[in-house]
Amino acid sequence: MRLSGTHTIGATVERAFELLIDPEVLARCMPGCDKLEHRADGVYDMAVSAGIGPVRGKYTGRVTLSDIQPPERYTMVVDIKGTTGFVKGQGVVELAPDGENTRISFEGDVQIGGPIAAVGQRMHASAARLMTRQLFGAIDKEARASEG
Amino acid sequence: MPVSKSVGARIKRREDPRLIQGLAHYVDDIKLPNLLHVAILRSPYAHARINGINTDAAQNLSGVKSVVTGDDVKDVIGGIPCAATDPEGFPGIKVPHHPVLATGKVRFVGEPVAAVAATDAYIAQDALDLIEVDYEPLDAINSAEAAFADGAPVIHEDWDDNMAFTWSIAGGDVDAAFAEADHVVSQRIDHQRLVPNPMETRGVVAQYLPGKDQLNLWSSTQIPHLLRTQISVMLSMAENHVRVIAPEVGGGFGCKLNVYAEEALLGHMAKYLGQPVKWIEGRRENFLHTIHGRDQTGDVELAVKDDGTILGLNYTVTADVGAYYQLLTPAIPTLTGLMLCGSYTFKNVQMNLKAAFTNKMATDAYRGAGRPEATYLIERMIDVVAHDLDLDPLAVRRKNFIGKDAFPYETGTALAYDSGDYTAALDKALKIADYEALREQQAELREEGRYLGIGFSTYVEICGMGPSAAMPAGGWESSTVRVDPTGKVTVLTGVSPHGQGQETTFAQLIADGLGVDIDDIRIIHGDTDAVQYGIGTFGSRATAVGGTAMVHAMGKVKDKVVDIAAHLLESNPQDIVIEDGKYCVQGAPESGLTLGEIAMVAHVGVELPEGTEPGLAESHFFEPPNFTYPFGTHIAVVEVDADTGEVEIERYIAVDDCGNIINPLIVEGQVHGGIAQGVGQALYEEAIYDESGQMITGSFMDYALPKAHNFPRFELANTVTPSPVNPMGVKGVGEAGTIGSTPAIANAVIDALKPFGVRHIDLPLRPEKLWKLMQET
Repeated sequence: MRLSGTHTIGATVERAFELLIDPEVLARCMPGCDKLEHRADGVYDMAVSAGIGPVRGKYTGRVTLSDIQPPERYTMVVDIKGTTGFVKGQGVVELAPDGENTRISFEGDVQIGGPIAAVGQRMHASAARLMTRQLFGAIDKEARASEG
Repeated sequence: MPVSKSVGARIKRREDPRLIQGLAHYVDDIKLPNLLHVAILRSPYAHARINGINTDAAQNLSGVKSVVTGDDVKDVIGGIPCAATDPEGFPGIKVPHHPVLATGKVRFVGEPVAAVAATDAYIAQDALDLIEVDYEPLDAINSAEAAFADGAPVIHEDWDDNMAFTWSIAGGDVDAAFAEADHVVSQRIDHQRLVPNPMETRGVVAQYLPGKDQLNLWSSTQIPHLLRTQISVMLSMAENHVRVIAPEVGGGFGCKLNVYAEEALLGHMAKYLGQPVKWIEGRRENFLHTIHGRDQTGDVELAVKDDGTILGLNYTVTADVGAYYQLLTPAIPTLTGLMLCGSYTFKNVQMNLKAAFTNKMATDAYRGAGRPEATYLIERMIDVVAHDLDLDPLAVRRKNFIGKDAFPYETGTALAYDSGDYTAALDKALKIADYEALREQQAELREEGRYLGIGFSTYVEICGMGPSAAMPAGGWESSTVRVDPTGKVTVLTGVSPHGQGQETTFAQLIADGLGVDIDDIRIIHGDTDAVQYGIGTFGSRATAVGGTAMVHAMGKVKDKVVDIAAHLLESNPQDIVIEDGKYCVQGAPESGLTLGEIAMVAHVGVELPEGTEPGLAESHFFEPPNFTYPFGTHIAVVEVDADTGEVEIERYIAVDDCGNIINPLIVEGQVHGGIAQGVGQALYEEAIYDESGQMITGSFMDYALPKAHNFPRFELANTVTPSPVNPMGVKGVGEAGTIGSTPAIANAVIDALKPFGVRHIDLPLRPEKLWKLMQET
């Protein structure tokens, strides 16, 4: 599944970048995130609870950030699995100034497998869009709160 | 066969009171002391290496009795069998080992990897979450085309490609037919993969009795005896120490004509755990790991003359059979080849099949099993010929029909069609439809921008399976008929039903034949300890083959009853008749004897004619001399909504000829369900695997089954052309509706879209597909 989108965060590019790669911020902002722990350079252990329709479950795995070019871009690889299947994704996140705000664009491929793949397939894209909107919306809130 | 009392009457199914009151006993209703519940861990990957499995945490969960993996059972449970692997029939066939639990590699999503037995079903399910499997994902193959592509990953590494087998059939002189043709009409035709979806999913209960070294296995199966044989081989047990019971079975449609991993696995677990075990398949498991149907894509060419006469047919096709074979996988597409000529006279015919291993569940017999592909193909192509040559599709059909005087008719594929009158069925259907008026209505509606379509299917199918020589695992059937001392009749039949109503139709035959009340007859089936060996219920064979075995056994019983009656009445057997339920000398019913009175004499054993054995029970094993060939005409009238692309079925007319009819209610029920399933293929259903081999239509939210509101009231009728193959003259009707309806609907939808220049559309005919076509023109 191709996944792409843009969001605006009410902060400078530098500040937005900081927030985006801060595991504590991400743990707070990511919907269903139970844990996000720094393991090694750019590597985080992650646990999330998520679901679509009747297929809900906990997923654990690893998030890896690479090709980090502050404050403009980085590559993110997600590899998590759980009782209801697995999610593997790879994407590029880019930041650009947009007046006083920052415009974030992302583009990537996501592969979903196991029981979760067999149910509600046509809802996967919209569920993913909803989750990214929640994530970036929450980061935007953090940015505005830390400024005020 | 004359309608006497029962046969031919609309008798309500004797099975239904228990079914509709919730009093039936399915596998899940089997309760045993100390029962353990089994859950199966299934592969989330289509294709991956298994580098390790850690079951420690699952083993340690409170309530878990045992966790088994492929390594634990690979030396004690044999491979899942396939009965159709003869290299003479399938040149170059590759027969991969099919383990009950994966070892080393998984090859499709849903493949069993481990099993947990626990004190309750919820604990077993929770324990699955604690099993850690180290998978190394490999590239997956989701189509035959991908399987044959250069550099494709190889699914079974014992070989160097994914070619599963080839098969071909040829009759007549195809080259000459094409040389002689005025036109060659070609079309690529897809038969999408379908999920059978019986109302009851599969399920197994296994119990081992160590004192007797006996395994009792309850399974929701269509073939208890074949299953018993295979389980005894897989578990290395003596077959006479294995008892298989098919209790009430809630539908099968072919998907329970099989031997599955769980059946052997549970048998093994019951034995080594010393406790009975139960596994009930979930609906999502059923989507992933109960056989699928169809999945052929091919190019068909017809050699045709200017006047619509078909001279020959050439079909080059690939079948996507999935990762492993199930019981009959390779045999299914061969039925397509045999039936390619349909109801038509051309004898120059050729089919060349290549079958591919892919990372999917196996295909196998699903209602119609290979014949829906043939019928859809030829019936669709008749309409394409009519389109290309600007002829009336009915005229093309009539021009090529096999005439009613030509039977028995030998086809180009060396079948002998038993009997038929295709024109009579077509004429009757046209009359019911009021065809001329429909065409006028269609023209008027088109003026208003409304799109009505009329579609035909003048099908013939092969059933009553069948002579043993033509079957992978026996084609005969068995029955025992016995009369108890009090005159109650018990029938044992090898055709274990799963919704066909044998307890009613078979009792009707006995009631008339022996002159007893239908309530005094009991039909026993599905228990291998009670019933002599049988083959099973599939291929619309139960009545034509199993019923015939019973009628022959009943005939032997009746001969004996008549002999005893004649002896007691001091008369001759040829003078004994049944009048008012009594065996009597013709014209003297007042001095006659009831079956009970005669049965008592047979069992007391002192007043028997000299040389007569005591008791009153006879068996018969019937080998059918031929298949039977039901036929008919289905007419669908549909309207396609120009704004939404939705198809509304306005009318559905089906004139089926299944030979003599024992119970019209049951025939109609079979036709209703059959039409619904065929319409499902035409309009709604499709099992889709994505590029990574994930099945993305794995729930009823994602896989559209037809529903009651999708249908009008069916207009059904019959013509009756008795079959000469069996003494009852019956043919079979379990699959005719499914085989006949798919092309009728497809042809109707495409007829509706004629103003848009549409020639062919692949199934399923979903609104978005039709709407886009209508927008493009």
